[in-house]
Formats: sequence, C-alpha cells, structure tokens
Amino acid sequence: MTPRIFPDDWEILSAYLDGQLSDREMTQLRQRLDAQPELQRALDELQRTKMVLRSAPRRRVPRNFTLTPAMAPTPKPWYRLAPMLSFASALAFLLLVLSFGFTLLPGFNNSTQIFAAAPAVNQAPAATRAALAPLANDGTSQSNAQPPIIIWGGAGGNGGSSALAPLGMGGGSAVGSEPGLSGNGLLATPEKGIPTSLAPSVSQPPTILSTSEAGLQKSAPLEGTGPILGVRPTEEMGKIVVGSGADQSLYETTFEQTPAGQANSFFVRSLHVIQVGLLVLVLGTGLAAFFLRRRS
Amino acid sequence: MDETALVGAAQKGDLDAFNRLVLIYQEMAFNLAYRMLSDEDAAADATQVAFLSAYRSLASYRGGSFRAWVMRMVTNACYDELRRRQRRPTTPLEPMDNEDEEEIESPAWLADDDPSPEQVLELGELENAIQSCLGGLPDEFRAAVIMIDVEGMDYQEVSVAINKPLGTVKSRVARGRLKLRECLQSFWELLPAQFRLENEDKL
Repeated sequence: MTPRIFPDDWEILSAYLDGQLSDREMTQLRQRLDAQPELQRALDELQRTKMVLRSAPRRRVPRNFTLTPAMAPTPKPWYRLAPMLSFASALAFLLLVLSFGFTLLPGFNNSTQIFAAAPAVNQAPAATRAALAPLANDGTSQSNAQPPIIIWGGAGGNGGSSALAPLGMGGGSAVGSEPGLSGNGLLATPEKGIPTSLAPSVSQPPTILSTSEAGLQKSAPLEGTGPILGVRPTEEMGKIVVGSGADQSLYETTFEQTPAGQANSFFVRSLHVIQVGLLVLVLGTGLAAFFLRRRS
Repeated sequence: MDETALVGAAQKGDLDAFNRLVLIYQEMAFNLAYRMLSDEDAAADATQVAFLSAYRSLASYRGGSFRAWVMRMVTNACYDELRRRQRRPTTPLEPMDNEDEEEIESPAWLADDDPSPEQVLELGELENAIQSCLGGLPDEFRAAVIMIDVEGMDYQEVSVAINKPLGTVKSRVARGRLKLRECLQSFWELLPAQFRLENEDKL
C-alpha cells in the first residue's frame, strides 16, 4: 500500500524544485524523500514536467513591436491638467456644499435680519433720531420703552416660516388656514404665497401700529387651531407695532426701501450667484478631468 | 545605455529609448502571449497592445524589475483577450492540421536553423503536447507556470507580473505543475527519450 501524497506535499515538492524552501524545510523533505520512495517518484515526475516545459520551443516574433510616433503620440501638456482639474472640481463641490449648508443654518435667517435691521436704525432719518434722543436720555422712558412688535406670517397654521424663506424656499402650504397663505419668511409678505424670486420682495410694507393699537391687537382673539400661541389674523400679518409715535416714524420705511434692505438683497443675490458659479465650476472641471483621463 | 537609463529616458518621452526596451523584451512578451492564447495572431496583437499600454503607463512604473512590469502588461492584455473570447466564442472554419502547408510555414518549424526530420517531428510533438496541456489549465495557473517554467522568471518577478503575493504564486505554480504532470502522462510515449523516466523505459 502506497501512502497518499497530499496537496501540501506537492506544493513543498514544487517549491523544492525552485529552491524556495528554507534550510530546515529542505532537511525535513530530504529525510522524507529517503524514507518514502513514492514521494521521490512524485518529485521526479514534477521535475520532468518542469524540464518539458523548459524545453518548449521558442517562437520567433513575427514582426517587431516597436512603436511609431503615430502609434504612441507624446502626451500633450494639457493631459497633465487632469489631476489639477479633478482637485479643483472636488474643492468647488466642497465649497458648494458648505454654502448650501450655510444657508440651512438656523442663524442664517437671524443674521440676515440683524444685518438688515441694525443699519435700518442707524440710517434712520436724522430728524427721527433727534426726536428719539430726549426719550433715550430719559431713564424712565428708557425703562418704559416698549419694544416694537412685528407681526409676520403665522407660523404654525401657515406651514411654518423657514430659514429658507428669504431664498424663495419657504415652508409648506398652509394647513387649516386660508388657501394661498403659506409659510412666510422674514421679508415675505403674508399676502403672497411662496416667494418665487430669489430675492425677497415686499409688495406691501408692513403697517405700523401704535401701542394702543397693539394693545387691541393683543386682546384680539387668536386665529387658527394650531398649538402655537400668538398667531394673528391674516389681515394683521405684516404689521409692525411700536410703542410711540416717534417709534412709528422710525419704522415708517420698509427694509427694501432702506439701504440696509437693499444690502440684504444684495447679500442673498451674491450668495446665489456664488453658488451657481460653484456649480458651473464643479461640472465644468469635473467633465474636463473625466474626458482628459479618458483620452490619456 | 543600461536598462535603468533607457527606462528613465522613455519616461521623459524618448520613444527611441522605449523602442530599444521593446526590442529587448518583445520575444519574451510574444512567447508569453502565445502560450497564453495559443494563437499567433492574437498573441501578436496582445503583445502590441501590451507595449502600447506600457508606454502610456510609464509614469506609473516605480522601479523594480522592468521585465516583470512589462510582463504584467502582457498578462493583462492576454486576460482581456481571453475574456473577450469568452464573451464572443468563435470556431475556426478549418481545424489546424499538421499536414497543412500553412503549418509547415509556422515559426515553430523555423525556430531551428537546420533541424533533422526526426528533430522536427519530435519538436512538433513536444510543442503540441505542451500547448495542449497548457491550454487545459485555468488562466491563472497557466500564467504562473508559463512565466516560471517556460520563461524562467523567478517568483518575485511573477508576483509583480500577476500582482499577487508570493504565497499565491507558489500555490498556483504547484497546482499548475500537478495538472500538467497528469496531462503530459498521456504524451510520454510521444516525447523525446530524454524526458522518459527510468521506470517508464522498463515498463
């Protein structure tokens, strides 16, 4: 009965033929070869197989395989632009994502509001500031000063204002409210539905009410069935309630009519121009890099 | 100019330097392709494609055995051709016949300068036996066995050429040889006497 030769043995024999065994493995194998004639015969057969293959007739090449300039055109310098274009595309894409992420931040809406409102006060007519000066110097009046109340579109019943509202991406359609009244952003009028233009527009400036009127407003019944308190009737939306007549004159301008409002519009427009530019850059450089790599 | 200098010049766009490298390795590349594909025209095409691919990919060469790197291009070109054949298998209109006049004009017969009729017959038998058995191997085993046993490359070069670790190369060579041993046993009587074992002569 001849002992069986395992696959591992064949691998060891093959490696032995090519001198790929360590000294210790070689010594062990030689001891086994002396003790097992069938293993020696298997080695002989493998060696013969190797000899047969080594003696395979060589084929002469039918022709030379040298390249001509037409077959192997020298790489043009602009082929080397492909990596740079790829990098530029990736970078532009990253910036584009960051710019969109910036507009989605909750603070973006507030920042634009501050950006618009603060200069509005600073740039109010000098006469108005002069009229306000005594009030500001009076400590009691300062403590009694009523902060202005601005009534924008209802939040809950009208689908919710969104940080995207100034971008023309206001909240959803109104739920349980009058048709056509959807989420209104900072500068969107309640009469208009979803703003369609990128820049916010105010077709009708908010109405300025006095404190007494504001008191009436406060006592007015709330509209809507949503859980959010303070939702005003739709006809009152877009009104600014201030504490005194002087305050009224201070706010008798809309944001768009003030340089601050124009600056805000310019800011939003600029952001969108940048985003469109980045998108074009991503697509342009990405496609250019792709085709360059295909051709190289 | 040594090989390293030629490669460096070729990487800078010197086509003449690259063509000198082609002349050095084209026979080896063609034989590897022929053993892989068993067809001279297909082997010539694969060799040309491999050198063209090598020239275009010279920038990716990072040193080491240039021969192994070129053989990798040849192996890849052969794998592409084999895959193409699997997708679109073809059948030759007329089977190859040793008695055909075309076969007499094949390079196998022209390889020896002045062979005797007996030698020609033996070489023909040997060639047929080797190619038939190699053709029966899986592609991966065939490539490893051809590079080690036919072309005389070392394990490290084959590892580079087929882009596999040394252990894989050893295993593939061993398994390929085992299958070839079984296949060639049916051809022992037709092979030259020097390939017969002592025990076989006594049988």
